[in-house]
Amino acid sequence: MNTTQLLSLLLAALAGATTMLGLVIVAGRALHRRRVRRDARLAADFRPLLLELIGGDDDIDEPLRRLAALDRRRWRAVEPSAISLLTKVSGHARTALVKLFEQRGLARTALRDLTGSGAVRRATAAHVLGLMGHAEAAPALAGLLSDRSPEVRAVAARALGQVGAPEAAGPLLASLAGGGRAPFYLVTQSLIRLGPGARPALVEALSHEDAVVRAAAAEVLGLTGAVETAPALIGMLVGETSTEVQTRMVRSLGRLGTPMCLQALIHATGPGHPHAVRVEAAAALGVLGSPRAVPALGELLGDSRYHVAHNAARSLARLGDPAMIVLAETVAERSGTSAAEHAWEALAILDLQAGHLQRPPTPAS
Amino acid sequence: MAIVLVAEDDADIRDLIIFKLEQTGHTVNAVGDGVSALRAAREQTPDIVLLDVMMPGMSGIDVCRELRRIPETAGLPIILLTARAQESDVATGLTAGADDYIVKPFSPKVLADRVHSVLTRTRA
Repeated sequence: MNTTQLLSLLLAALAGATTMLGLVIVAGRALHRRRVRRDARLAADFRPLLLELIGGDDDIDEPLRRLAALDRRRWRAVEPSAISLLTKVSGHARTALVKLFEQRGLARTALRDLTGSGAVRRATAAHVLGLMGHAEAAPALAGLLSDRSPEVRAVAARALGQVGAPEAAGPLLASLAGGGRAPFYLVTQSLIRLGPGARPALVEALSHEDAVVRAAAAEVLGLTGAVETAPALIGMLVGETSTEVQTRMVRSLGRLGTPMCLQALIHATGPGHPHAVRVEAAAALGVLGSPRAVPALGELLGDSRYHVAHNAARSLARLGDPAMIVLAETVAERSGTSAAEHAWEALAILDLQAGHLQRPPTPAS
Repeated sequence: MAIVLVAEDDADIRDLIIFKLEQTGHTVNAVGDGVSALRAAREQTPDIVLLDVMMPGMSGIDVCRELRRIPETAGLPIILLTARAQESDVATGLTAGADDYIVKPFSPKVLADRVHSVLTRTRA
């Protein structure tokens, strides 16, 4: 066989292989389309039964029994729609769906899939367990917070919040340490969903060696109104070295709003503290809402740092009549000063909010 | 029993609302976007309108404002359905003229009760 014949043979073989590959792809796509159409038809057939289960009030035994008894092929068609509905309903409807999933063994399968080799499989399993609020899955989900896939870590963090097991607070907080194995906002959202049972772990985390962990704990304590933890927050604020953490602690003290918080916030506006902390403390005094902050805020109107004075004026505008008098007197009696400008601006914003479009210029202008 | 116009772009939720309201004896007309909702409200004269806030083209809030502006639909009871539960979102919906506000995820039973309650209140 000469070279030309060999080349022709190779080209023919290549053409044959290409044709075969094309046929396999076309056949594969056709089969896939057929399967999708068949699944859609099956899903449509069983949709009324699914709606009967979710929309029925007390009489769900029959639809539950029939859906739980579906063969694998039919259930595969119905399952995506059922999972999708789980995110959209609450109350009795949600309970009915969870009951169906339990009977179908979905939780058992998902628990097994949490240790699967594919990231998509692990993430899907975590997602389903979270949606079901499957409490027994909490330890396994906590293990996924250090998964090699960032997507799996994120899904696990969210799922732990949905499951709502307070013992997940420690692992969730720890997942933020060392550069953050899980997204900060997802972890804090989940910590909020864990409720009061997570507070001991949050207080403990205020003294964690990693500043990100301390910041998350401080933020969540404020957002969840954990007033009994105010002494711990104040105590840790004194020795805190990170400005970011101090800022979040101060913001939380404003949200907690106890008398003890008021004193700590007034102290935090002092010149010995970092600028960002003073700015946040001036704002937090407005959020806290006590008229007892008026004298301190009045003093801050004349602060040399723009944002401190600005926030002090905005906070005074939230504190009612005694504060309004301070603002008005500052405009009238300290004209030409930056304090009068800040006070005037705060009053002008109040006017706009009340629907009054014009305020006379400050005496200085 | 009443004629209910439902505007919801999510087929799962739309089907569930239709099922629940028909189960409680109402007649339901459903559309998947805001523009169709506006047209249906003018042509079909429903007794009550359920509007999803986030819809393609025209939001439920815009449809609500428009319905309140048009004389023949200005008095229609309107319930907004939305995933946005912030205080400001609720205020925006009520300011636009909605009679009630249901937050997703929702209980189908509570939804049916709210429809009944708004209908009773507005018919009184």
